[in-house]
Amino acid sequence: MYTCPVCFYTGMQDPPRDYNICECCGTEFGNDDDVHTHEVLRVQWIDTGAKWFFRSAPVGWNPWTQLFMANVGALRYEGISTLYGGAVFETAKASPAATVAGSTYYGVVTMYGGNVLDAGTGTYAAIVTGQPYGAASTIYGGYVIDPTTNHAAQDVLAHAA
Amino acid sequence: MPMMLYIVGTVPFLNAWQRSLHFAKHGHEFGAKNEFDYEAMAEAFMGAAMHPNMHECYRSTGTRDRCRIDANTRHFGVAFNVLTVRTYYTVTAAKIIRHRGADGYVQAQCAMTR
Repeated sequence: MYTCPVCFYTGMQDPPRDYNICECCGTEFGNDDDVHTHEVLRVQWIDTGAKWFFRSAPVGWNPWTQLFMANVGALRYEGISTLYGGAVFETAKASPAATVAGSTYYGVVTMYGGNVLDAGTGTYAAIVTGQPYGAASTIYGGYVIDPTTNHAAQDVLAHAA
Repeated sequence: MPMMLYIVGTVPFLNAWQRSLHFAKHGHEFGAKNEFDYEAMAEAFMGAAMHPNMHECYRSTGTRDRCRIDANTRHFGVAFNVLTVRTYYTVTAAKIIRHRGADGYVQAQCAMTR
């Protein structure tokens, strides 16, 4: 088995070269990475929902866990105002939280480190490192803050998970 | 120039897994009905006669991949060991422009070491 350098799926049946395609993210090596770097392709994959590409995903597969386990560095921060459900990741050194494109926040946020600021009180609702943010998995308002810029990465709309 | 004889119908993908994956990725670019249809198109392309707008080259490394592109259609394919298809897809116009033409694109592909 081989590891995809784009999405870090560890079950590639063929090495990531010679026009082989990652069954997880769909990257074709020699074609897609001819122009774009692996990091750019990773961001594109994440921005389009980090979906499984070929046939059915393995049971229990989770793209965010996969990225987290690979210790992916800071993902691109675009100042997107809202978030589709999924995970928000942060590196161990409190670099920017990832953003996931979307227009509405749905679903549970699994927070592996990072800061969630309660907009109402102006205080951090949670600072959790290496643990899923499981405090009832509910965020009522607030912002996910980019620690390096102190800007809100996105609004998290009132939502009971 | 050495004469090379290509026999249409003898250039399949390495295995069913590769065929399915590449069909999932590129089949829609050719309107292929299924993976076998896509494979047949790839075979036909890799075995088609050369013409003025068909550019072809060989990699000097490893399995001496044969890369070719049709500048008219932007269809691109790679075969290795003559008889096995690696890939078959349509190159975007942007990539062609980036490489200053179809021949530039296929030459760049042949220059890749991996």
